[in-house]
Amino acid sequence: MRGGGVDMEERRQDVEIRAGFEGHDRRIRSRRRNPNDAPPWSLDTKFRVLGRKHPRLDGPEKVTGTALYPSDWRPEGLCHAVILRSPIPRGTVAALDTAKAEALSGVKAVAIATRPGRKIRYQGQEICAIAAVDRGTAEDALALVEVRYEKDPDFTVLPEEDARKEISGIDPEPRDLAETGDQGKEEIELTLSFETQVQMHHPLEAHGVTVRPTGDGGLEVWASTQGTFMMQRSLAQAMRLPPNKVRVRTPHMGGGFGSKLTAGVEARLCAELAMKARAPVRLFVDRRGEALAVGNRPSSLHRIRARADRKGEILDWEARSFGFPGFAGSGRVAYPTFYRGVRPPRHRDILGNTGAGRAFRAPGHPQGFFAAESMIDELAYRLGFDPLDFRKRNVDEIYAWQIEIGAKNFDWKGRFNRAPGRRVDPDGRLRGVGLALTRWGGLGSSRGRVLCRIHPDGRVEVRNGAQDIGTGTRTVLALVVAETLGIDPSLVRCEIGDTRDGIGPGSGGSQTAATLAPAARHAAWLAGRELLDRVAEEMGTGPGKVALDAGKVTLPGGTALSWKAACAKIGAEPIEAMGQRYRNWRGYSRGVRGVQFAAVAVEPGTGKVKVERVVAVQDCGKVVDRLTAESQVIGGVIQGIGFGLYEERVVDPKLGRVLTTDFETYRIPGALEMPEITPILLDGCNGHSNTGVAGIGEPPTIPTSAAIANAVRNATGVRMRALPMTPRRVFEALSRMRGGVQ
Amino acid sequence: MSAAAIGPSLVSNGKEDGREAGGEVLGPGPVKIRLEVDGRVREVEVEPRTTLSECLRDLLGLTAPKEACGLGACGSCSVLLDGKLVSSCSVLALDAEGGKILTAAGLGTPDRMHPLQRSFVENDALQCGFCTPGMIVAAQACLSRNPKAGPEEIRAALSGNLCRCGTYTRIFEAVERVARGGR
Repeated sequence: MRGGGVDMEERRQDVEIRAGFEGHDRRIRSRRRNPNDAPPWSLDTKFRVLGRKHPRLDGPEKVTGTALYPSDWRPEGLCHAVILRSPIPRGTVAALDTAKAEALSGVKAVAIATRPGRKIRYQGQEICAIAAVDRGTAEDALALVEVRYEKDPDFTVLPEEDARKEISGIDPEPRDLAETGDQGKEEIELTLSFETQVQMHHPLEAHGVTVRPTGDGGLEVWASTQGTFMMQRSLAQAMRLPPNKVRVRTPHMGGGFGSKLTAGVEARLCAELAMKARAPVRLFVDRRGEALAVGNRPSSLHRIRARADRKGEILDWEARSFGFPGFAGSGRVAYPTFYRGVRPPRHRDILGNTGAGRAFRAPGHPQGFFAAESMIDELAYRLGFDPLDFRKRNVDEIYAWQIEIGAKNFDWKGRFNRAPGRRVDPDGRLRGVGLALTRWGGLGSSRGRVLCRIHPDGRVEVRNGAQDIGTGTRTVLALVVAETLGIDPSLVRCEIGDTRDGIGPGSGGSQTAATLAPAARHAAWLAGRELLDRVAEEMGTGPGKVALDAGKVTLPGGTALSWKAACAKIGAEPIEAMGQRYRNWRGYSRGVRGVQFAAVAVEPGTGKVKVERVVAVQDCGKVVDRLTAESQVIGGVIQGIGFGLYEERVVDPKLGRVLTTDFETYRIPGALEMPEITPILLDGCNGHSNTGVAGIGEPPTIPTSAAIANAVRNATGVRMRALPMTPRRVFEALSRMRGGVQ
Repeated sequence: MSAAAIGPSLVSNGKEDGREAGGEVLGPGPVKIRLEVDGRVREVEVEPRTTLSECLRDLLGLTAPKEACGLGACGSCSVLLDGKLVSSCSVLALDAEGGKILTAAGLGTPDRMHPLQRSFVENDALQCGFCTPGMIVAAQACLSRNPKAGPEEIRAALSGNLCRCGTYTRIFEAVERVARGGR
């Protein structure tokens, strides 16, 4: 049984490893593995560092407010910029005059985003931006810009209404009451429609950049971005600069959730302003702009017709879906097609005159899973099945195993309400439980190079140019390097978020750790071998006779050198190795799985839903840092609660204006709404790369809203067909059911 | 003007209002104020319309109070002003004149963290970390009122602070541990 360390064994291409989970493992032959890669970790690897709880390395800077975020950077002579946005949803800029604004004392530069004659496609579209000595002056100047709009009254801000008409004939007001009235039938057929709302990303740090022109005609850009290299490339393109003239820096950033992958209009405007003003300019979108113009999770509409039989088999499944991504973007949805019998929907996007959709934590998945998992749940109830048993009949054994783990922790059998809508608790509430499954890929790409330096004093430095969006990238890289070298993580320092360092992925698709961990392992392994070579040379032993294990260099004859003593033999210069990210080979699974259980209490008099407990079972290949990985699961659940119960962009159909442009009107979950959340991380090894690490950022937000809706069904007997499940929607559904029962 | 006068300021509420109320009219044009920030006395010239968060971040170069909503709805810019929890984006710098301001950076440094800060790190009560300095200040305000605050009191005290990454349950754990006297 090998450890995670380094030795001088011959490189072998065809390594067979055990991957998966204990009790659910398989042998993987990695013939397609690159022979230059570090040997792969497996279920048999004895880990010293990985899989335990490690506080994130940049925690002390973050909690003391000393971590420098892009929006904190204030270089000498900084100008502040603000954006003028269109108040109308559709039309043309007929005339634009910025002369008075430019003449205002303190104004340094103006950049135009929408020239006269160009179309307006949504409220909030950028018209122009102004940079001035301070924010107040820039705002004063904005008020002096004269714009004449030609309004086009023929705009669409709620394309859902048209789509609803298209499927309403097939789905007359479905029965909300639905006790298990169809029980006993051999076979049932059911048609239901589902709707989800527009959800906004609202990262707390706004979209934006601070751009400083450098002496050599280039730009230094401190960007709040999820993709330093994507920002570099798109900004260089927009400014017609070679990419190496744009240096992007993101040592920390305040959230993105998919909306900060490329350079937005605000970044391009800021770069233009900085070049014109020949001074550093800071442009961060205000909260209203965040609500209008920097992306959203598009709303969706679904109609599903399904047939299932008493044996619990889904015989037929036909779904149609619509997505409404605004003026651009994709509103595609994803269904849980890992269920036997569930098929993807026939989909159509309908555009409208609102801000464009963007990738949002598991794009398309919470929408599709809410619809499909609700449908599956309802089939179970109508056939008289426990929805947990029904699911287990239609999934593979790994899911069935995970469902059992969750059910036990959650006490599904004890909590399941056998009389939905009729069992009122002493506090007047209706209680119930629900579950839903999740699936994601996130095995990482080959877009990553990590540098590892071993210094003569024993310190180890790790560098990569990608960013940390709050997931703990810095910590993950340091831990992988510490594990590989067998040293204490406190010896490792990790620098990230600078495009001068090795390339890394954008943090989308839950790819960052899965992409960079193997490159970090490779870098450390190469550096470790070099260290052994030098020690062998120094000590006069043959190569291949020394090994690095548990932070010690062992020599022939049983003697050992401490890490520090070994590093002292390096010489004056550090050892430096650049780790590659070789391509994935076929591992245990093509992605990750999970299941979530929710317990809710519903106030029948108000329709208010309170989530009381969530148990989230999740796998993610090899767990690097249990503490930060669990945090991501908790965060995914909380965003799922927001999607399920609170968050909704509201647009006035007559004015075409967004009404929810601040945190008073757009409700993201807060402290008082929190249930008890139990993350259960299943540590395994996916065996598709040298580390077997898979993504975890997105999968835990996928099933939460569906699990809550299914719990509301179990509590009340009512099938909620639209999100968010606000008190009003739930109350109305309860009232319809009461009417229907009488 | 005393720092206790938090809320709509007659002085800087616009000229007409000022006159009606018989107040002194300030600005446009900078006014010199004195603040004690994290134990250091600072003198700074501000426009009357400058908010305290702009003053702290843009003029004094502080990075602990963040600005996220600009409307006092998210708590990211929370500071203690003379011991009272305020959203610095919703207080005019002028109204803080002579006041004592405490930010998360004044509570501790990376090498010498405050027990709350250490507990946040150990419990991973942060992800992107942007809301964190404000959360810590709000938690400190809660524990200085009641060092043994219970779970309900802690939740209520933090209900004005938003965390978009969704770290609340770990934040509660971090604060509760300090309140229980352990870590």
